[in-house]
Amino acid sequence: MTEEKSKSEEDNNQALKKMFDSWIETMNWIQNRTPGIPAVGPAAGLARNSVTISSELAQATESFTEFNKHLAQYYAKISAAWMEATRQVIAKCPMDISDEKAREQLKNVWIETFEQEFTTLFDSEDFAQVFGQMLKNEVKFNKHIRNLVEVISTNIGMPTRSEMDSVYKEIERIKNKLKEMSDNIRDLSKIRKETARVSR
Amino acid sequence: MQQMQRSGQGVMQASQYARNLDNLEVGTTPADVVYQGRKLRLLHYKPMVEKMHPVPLLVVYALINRYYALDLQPDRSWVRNMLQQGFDIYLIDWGSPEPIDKYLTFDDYVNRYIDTFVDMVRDASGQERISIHGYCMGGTMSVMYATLHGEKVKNLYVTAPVIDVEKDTTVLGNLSKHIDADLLVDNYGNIPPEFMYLSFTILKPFKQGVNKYIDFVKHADEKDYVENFMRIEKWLYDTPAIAGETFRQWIKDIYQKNLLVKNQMKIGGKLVDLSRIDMPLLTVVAEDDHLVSPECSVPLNYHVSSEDKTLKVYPTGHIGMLASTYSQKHILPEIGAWLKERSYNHAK
Repeated sequence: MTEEKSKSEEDNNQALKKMFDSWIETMNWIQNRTPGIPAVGPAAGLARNSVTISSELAQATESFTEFNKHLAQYYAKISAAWMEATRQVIAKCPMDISDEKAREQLKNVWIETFEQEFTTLFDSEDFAQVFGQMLKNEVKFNKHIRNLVEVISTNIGMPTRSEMDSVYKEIERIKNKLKEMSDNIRDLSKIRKETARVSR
Repeated sequence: MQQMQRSGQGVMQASQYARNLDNLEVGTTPADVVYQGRKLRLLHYKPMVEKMHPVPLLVVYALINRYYALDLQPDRSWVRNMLQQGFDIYLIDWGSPEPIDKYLTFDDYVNRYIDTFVDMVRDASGQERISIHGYCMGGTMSVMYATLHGEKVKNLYVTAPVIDVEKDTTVLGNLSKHIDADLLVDNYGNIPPEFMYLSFTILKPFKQGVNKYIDFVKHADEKDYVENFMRIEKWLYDTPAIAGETFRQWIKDIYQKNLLVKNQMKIGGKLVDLSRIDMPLLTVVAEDDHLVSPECSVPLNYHVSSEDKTLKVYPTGHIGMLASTYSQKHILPEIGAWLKERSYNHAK
């Protein structure tokens, strides 16, 4: 059943990927002709960047599909661990839980078993890979959207993140230079004091 | 039925407490702010005894979570305990990095900030060399500092430093190996706190994530229990962003390539060579540490050249080493004794 399910998920993903690929091809075909569109003023920038814009959109969609694929795998693993832990708790739990002591015992068994099962899962190489891929595709999706905003911001004359980054970088360089200079001043003043002491 | 009613009242009461989380007082031990940057602060705690040991102690806290773990509440305060033992304490509050801080690296933290603060403490105390205590990631940064500026460090005391990640047995260590740090940093700049919460919540999801809330509801009518619980919750969820470039180095150089223990890590172009540590060293680890396993910290003792080195292992957890009744009774008196013996200039 699980194998069938994962095969059908895989098929769905492949179909989606195929569909996006054909969209990308079509868009590229159209966009390669857009620079020919006569446009003046700000629209000229948008026309010039239309290839980048649609390419970023297509890549964002692709990353989102990949993210969903890994999210499904992530939940499948969580759900399998949950089922296994539940099975173990049922096997271990006392039959009669009418008194408080038995309920407390059940709670402790539940916590201990689930902790053990989930720690084993989170410690596994397999889970770490799925987690890493899920995170990677989420961030990639975010990256393409950011690139899109960057292109549009440039066209409408708004400050972009790249511009801010270069300012931050320059400030960091100046701060380091200042630290270096103040260290040199400190060392020089030490040498001066020492020289004055010796010559006295 | 009665128990259910009691639990219901507990839940209602808990929501009241949650609303007052911001008003909960933490870090109440009196201190002067001797340096105030845009975000960064250096605190100097007011003495609690008349006779102080001459060599001051600078505390380098981690860049994850906030410094007040050392001073969560008076009866479990690491800071207060050490002050009462006669230590002159300075502490770095790293604050929260802003987008402008994304290019800060370990070079900045170690060679710029820690070094500046060490010089300030040396000037203020008139001591050529001072003691340094580093906790967790702060322990790792203190180790880096001691290798590069050893002439200014009299004693090095580290709690759960991340040193040999190949030996780390924690979930965090496992997940870090599969994180694309470049992509994260290039995209986000600073690593947002939400990412840190996500990492913490999967560490001990049932024992610490579920069980503690069940216990909380049970004890919701006990004022001391609730206040203690809420202080720890406040601390847990008060984590700043991490400067992007520092995170990149942390994950790639330390967690993925394990460069630190191989003596191959460079900061600011300088090699961090653990064998250059020759001052007295005290390494403190916890058996039940689920953030930095003892196996990850202990190798420090075998890579330094210090002749005077001590390793202490305690049956507690990561935060238990700082803020627990156990720590007050068993850990801090031993650490105080070790440090006191080495806090005079005639000391070895």
